[in-house]
Amino acid sequence: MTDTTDFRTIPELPAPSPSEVLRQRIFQHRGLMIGGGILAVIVLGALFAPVLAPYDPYLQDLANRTVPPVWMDGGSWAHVLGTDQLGRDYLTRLLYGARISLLIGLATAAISGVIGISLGLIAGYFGGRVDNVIMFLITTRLAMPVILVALAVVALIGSSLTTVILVLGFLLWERFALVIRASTMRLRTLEYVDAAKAQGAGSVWILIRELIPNLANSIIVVATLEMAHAIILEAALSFLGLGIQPPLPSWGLMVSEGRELLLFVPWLITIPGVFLFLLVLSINLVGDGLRDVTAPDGKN
Amino acid sequence: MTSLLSIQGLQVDIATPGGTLQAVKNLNLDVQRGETHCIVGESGCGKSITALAMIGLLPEKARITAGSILFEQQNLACLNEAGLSNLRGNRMAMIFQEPMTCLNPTLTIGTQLTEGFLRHGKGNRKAAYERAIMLLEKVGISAADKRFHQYPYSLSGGLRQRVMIAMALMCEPDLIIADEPTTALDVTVQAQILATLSELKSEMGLSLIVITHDLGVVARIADNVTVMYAGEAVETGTVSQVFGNPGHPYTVGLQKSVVGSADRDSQRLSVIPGRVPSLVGGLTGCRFRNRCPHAIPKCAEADIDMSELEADHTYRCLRNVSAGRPEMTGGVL
Amino acid sequence: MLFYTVKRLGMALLVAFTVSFLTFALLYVAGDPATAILGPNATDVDIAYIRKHYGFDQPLLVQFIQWLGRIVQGDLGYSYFFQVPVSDILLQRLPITIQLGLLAFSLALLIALPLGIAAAARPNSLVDRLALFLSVAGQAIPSFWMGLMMIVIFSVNLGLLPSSGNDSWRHFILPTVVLGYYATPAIMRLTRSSMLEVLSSDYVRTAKSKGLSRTTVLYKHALRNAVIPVVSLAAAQLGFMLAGSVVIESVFSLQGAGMLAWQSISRGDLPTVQAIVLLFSIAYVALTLLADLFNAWLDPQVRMAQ
Repeated sequence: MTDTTDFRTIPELPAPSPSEVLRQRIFQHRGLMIGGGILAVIVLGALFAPVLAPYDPYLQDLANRTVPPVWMDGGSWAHVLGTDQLGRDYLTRLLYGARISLLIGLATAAISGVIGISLGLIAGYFGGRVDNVIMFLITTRLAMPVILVALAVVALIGSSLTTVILVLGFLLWERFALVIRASTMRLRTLEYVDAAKAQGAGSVWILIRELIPNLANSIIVVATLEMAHAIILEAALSFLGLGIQPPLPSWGLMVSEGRELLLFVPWLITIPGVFLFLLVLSINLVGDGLRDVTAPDGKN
Repeated sequence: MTSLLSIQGLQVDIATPGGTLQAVKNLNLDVQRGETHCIVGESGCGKSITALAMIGLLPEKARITAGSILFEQQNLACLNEAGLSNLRGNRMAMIFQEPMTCLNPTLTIGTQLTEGFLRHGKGNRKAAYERAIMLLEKVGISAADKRFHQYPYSLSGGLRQRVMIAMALMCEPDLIIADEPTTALDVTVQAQILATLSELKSEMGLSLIVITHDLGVVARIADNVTVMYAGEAVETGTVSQVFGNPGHPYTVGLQKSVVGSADRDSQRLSVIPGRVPSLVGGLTGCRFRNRCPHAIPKCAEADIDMSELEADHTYRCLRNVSAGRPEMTGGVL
Repeated sequence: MLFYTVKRLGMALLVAFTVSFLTFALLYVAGDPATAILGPNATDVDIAYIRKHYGFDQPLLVQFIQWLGRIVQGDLGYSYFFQVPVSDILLQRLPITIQLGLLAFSLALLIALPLGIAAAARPNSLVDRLALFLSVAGQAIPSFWMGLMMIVIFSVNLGLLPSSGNDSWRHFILPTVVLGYYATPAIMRLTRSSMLEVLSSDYVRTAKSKGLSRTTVLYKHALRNAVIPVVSLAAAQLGFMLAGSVVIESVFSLQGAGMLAWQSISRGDLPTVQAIVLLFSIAYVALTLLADLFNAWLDPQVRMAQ
């Protein structure tokens, strides 16, 4: 208006826009940046494995068995991370193995996500008896020892990539369900759901249109955790011989194959284990980081 | 005569993601023995932070950056944690706002009443028990022995606040700070609690600082009052001075927003328009000017000092608008 | 307390019943159990014999009820592989797994609780950062790989500890460390966050306002309330650790129930697998039941209720 009102305004620091705050939080979050960086490298390596990999992952070269990696005595730049007991290039197999781990993580999280999110939404939205039944399902699921049941079922129906994904997908949904149930219960009491109801929206419509976008944060965070969980479980199953079958280059299977030569060539298990550790670590860091930066108070 | 508590130039800063927030700025406050002093203001004006600073329980991100808090000649702002905890609950005690959450759910009332007494070496268990029972009866709790052995869940909010008062009195403190002691309670219970508080105060000769946003509470119990706005004291004096002859437009606005005051006929409350400014970063000039009907360009130029309106009655405003000027009593804010 | 106990016990029994049905259903996951026992080249006569012998020709529900009836009487079935009752083998193997589980659980608590409390007492301090680092790294290390690395370091390179078997207490050191470390991060994180929440509560502020010492506030006022969610999680973790023994025992060739489960799965010895799955599930149900009852007892409102 006019200058008569100017003196009344109290200068305030300009409030940064929400997206700017978010961007700032992301870049200031060390864990998220480190995790995101490692994960990006692994994902790129997996995506461009055919271009990056120096050899064929299945090509055996019995003359060049257990060549050590380049930094050890007897290593050479021909095989940067050495070769395995069948003379296959380790770096090549690790790059292709990343594809398996990421595929398992993504596919399992997708299947368990669909199951868990649906159950969580239904339980949280309808409450009452429906909620009791779903809580009972969750409790029952938690009582089943995951690794043991996964091993048994995979063994019974025959191990393959698809079986592992399906079995893990049908076992790891409970955290999705619990988290989504709790968030839905909280959101249900908020006004906008009532507003949608008042406008005559049906229950299913309300669930999908109003709740899912608001639950996106929790869903992404749980999805990262379950991806990491699935990747470790697949590695353990493959390590025990009941997961991915040879000659596929699963990292867990590579550790298992290297185990026979544990006494003589320990790096055969060290290297795939370190990759597994880095992948799971980076996914966990990204998940924790996303939870921190999207939390209302910005921390914990 | 020296004051029991004397706050000089107190400044409290809070670190926030957006920058430093000046929660309390250049606050002076004196409380004599036997006095009841009320600190009034809207929420977020720095009342509670002031109270926490007095008892040395500021949240981690808040820091006293200037000034002194003299309690019986001891500067609390310079005291270390050990020194403070010897005073806390002993020479000065605090009563908090939320009686429902202020008691530990897993310990009996008796344990919580007596532990401070035992900690400060006031006597043995038997003495602690006897004093606790005596005080429980004094604050108006019947069947004191039964309550002593109960857990908080079996007590109503009003009873819990009475327990909190008894707890504050356990070590015969000189000063009790009550932060919104009645806000969370039913109206009928509020009156009873206030009556109990002022009765005990005169009986035991202690000083009381009551933090509140409720002018009804002030009128009922206070001797002196300090009005705070946006971290600053804007007016201080006796109750009759401050509310009979207000010097600061904010005090006037507060009075008008009380039920049954100015707009009695319309049964509506007048509300001060606008909001408290963000205290992040440095602010110069009068902090109320964006909501003030009397603001002039000079209000924005420099910080305003307290000036004296009459003996013991000071206010922080450039415009001497108090003396029955029509816009102050009848004007609309 | 009595009412709560009865209600909670009923829930546990219902879960146990459902779990036992699912365990029973494992038999049919692969299709016809008779073919599964005999392999794909079996003759029709053999299949018919096996069906009759094991009762596979009965209706599913009848089979389940008969199976459950036997389980309740302590008959866990007859091992296809060992040709002896499953309970006989389990009696030899279970003590090893229980021993490992309890040792690892104690180790996990011993690390997780003090670190979690210390981290919460001084957020962002060196201890807090160390705890955070340990838990982030710990959650990402696959336990089977950690086991192998421990063997490489402590058995192969340093020659300090045996790498496999269960002949002496020294054989239990490495598996205990690996299994214990597996359970540590979750317990530590929850202890820290639960403690932080309680420390910022109103009643802890009241306690401080009474001039109580830091230690009294931390242990008398905060810990008692902060421990409630930790008890639930710890009980669940102990349950998960039993299942985790499958991997750890296989790495260290510890002849416990976990190792037996893995071997039986590979051998197609389904009754043994079923018995172990069922036992581990029931153990989980019982542990979480105990934890809930303990928490209810901690809460005076539930404890005092008639």
